[in-house]
Amino acid sequence: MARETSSSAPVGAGRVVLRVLAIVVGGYVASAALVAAAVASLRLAGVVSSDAFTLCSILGFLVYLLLALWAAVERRLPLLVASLVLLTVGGAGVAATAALIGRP
Amino acid sequence: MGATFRDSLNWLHTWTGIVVSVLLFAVFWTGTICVFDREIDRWMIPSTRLVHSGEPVLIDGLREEALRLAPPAAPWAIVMPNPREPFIWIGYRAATGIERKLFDPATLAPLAPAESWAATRFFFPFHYTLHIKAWDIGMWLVGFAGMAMLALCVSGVIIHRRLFADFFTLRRSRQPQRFLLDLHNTSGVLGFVFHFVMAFSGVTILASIYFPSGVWAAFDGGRAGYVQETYDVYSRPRLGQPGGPLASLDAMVATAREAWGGLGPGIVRVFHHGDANAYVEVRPSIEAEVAMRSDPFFFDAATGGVLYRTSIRPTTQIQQFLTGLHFVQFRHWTLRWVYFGLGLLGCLLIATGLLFWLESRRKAHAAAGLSGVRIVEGLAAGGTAGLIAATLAFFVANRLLPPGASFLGGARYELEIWIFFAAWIASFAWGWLAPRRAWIDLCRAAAALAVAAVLLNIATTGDHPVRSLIEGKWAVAGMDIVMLVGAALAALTAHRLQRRRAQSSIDKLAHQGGVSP
Repeated sequence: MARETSSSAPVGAGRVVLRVLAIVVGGYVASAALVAAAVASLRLAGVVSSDAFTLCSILGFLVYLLLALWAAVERRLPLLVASLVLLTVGGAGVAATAALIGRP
Repeated sequence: MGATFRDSLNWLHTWTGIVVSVLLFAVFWTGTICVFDREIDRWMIPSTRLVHSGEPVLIDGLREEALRLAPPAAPWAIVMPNPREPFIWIGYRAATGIERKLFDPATLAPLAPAESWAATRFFFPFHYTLHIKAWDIGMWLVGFAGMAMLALCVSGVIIHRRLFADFFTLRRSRQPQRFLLDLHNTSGVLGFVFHFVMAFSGVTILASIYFPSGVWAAFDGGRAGYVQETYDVYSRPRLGQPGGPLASLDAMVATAREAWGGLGPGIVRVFHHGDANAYVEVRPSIEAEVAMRSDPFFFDAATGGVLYRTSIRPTTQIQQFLTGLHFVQFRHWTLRWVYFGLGLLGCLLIATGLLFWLESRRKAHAAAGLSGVRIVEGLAAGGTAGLIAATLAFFVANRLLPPGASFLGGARYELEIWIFFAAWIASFAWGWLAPRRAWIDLCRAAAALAVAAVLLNIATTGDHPVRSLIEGKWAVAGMDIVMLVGAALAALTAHRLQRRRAQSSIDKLAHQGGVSP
């Protein structure tokens, strides 16, 4: 803990910015999309809206925490970015589809 | 971002910590003092230093007063007394915002107005909005700090190599860097569960703000739909025809009390008064259990008949339990002090982390000509010791400003707030102007302000700690005693820092003397 390791890490400014964006923004947007997808799916399955939201939003914070920690430790940056984009697009897609079916 | 898993988390811990530390300290400090928010209120609003009798209070005598105060059609509320808030207040929406009028519960006689936002209206909203209301920016910043705290807790534990051994390690080394790290580790390990649970429950309280995507997916009416469906809120629209006079509120309270198994009411709210569709909401007191229960009764205002009883779903009760765990509104004095102590430990954790960052980089930055340490040094002094000094300046201002004071168009309560922010900004400035001395000066200022606050309280109200204790004004006595203990600790810290500073300059002189012949 006493050692400063970041200065020795072979990283450029661009990669640091991308990494920080992945942790702060990417992790959040992906978890928000997953929450929406889970809520919309549960609602479609007949779960009461408030139950679905309360449960998924509480778990959503833990999902964001795990994604943020993973974004900090994953060394393969392209894999990280691709995964976060995939989770976001997939989550949003599921949420929109479920909402379309549920609310004709 | 490092060579190994642990290095990456170390990188995350270091930089998250340094970026959010001042914000996080502000949230932790205001949260910690808000554990005793009602007690601070009693100290800052002397007219409410009453002793709670515990007798059920009858409020029908306040109906006329409330109807006279509240503008037509606006909702109004009567907030019931409890041991921590031993008075009644009528709240109503006026042109200038929510107005409050205070009453003695025994006689229903009006009390002198508050003229201070004290803790419940200043520090409490500061804790989760930073008083930045535009676009909810303040809430988002605090939410970010909360998530950062969770990430710091987890990464801190993982990068910590000898967790169990260090639990028992506190080396009072003369080397400040080593001592700071030990203090940081010990406070982090001791308070780990509390800090994690507080950060987590804190963000879940505002889940409907932080996950608008989920609200969108769940509720057709957006956030209003969320509140209505989650808390099963009853409402009916105004009819536009005059209604009968307001029935007995005490009778409605009695009906609700019986259904709640003897639990008293917390708040009685009247909607659309004067209209044929007027109705009354009676909410239970929240001091009996951990969960912040909200299962109100709704009555017809004219007949007093029950219109609706809210039922809270078990899932929502999980949310209310987390909220209650965070708000600590339940009646348990031992736990309240434990919360206060663990909150202070959290403040220590954040401050020592910040100082460790500084100490471990000071020499390297000076050698490389980097200005980072200088900038963070000012931030650290103003953001930690400065915030504490500003809080105490707020208390001193409260006792110095006469009733009805106004300046430059600011009412008395606003002057207190201006003084708080002025003192805080000044301490940041001092941190940058005199970085080597700022800590000593701020500790001395805090000690002097705390003693001044206690003395001014005696001078303006006559409530010295002994008298407060004898008369059962625990809040006032507790506040004074905590401030005196705090003053002693601040003075001791200033003394120690001064001695170390003198010692290090002697060492430096001796060293120079040895090198040059």
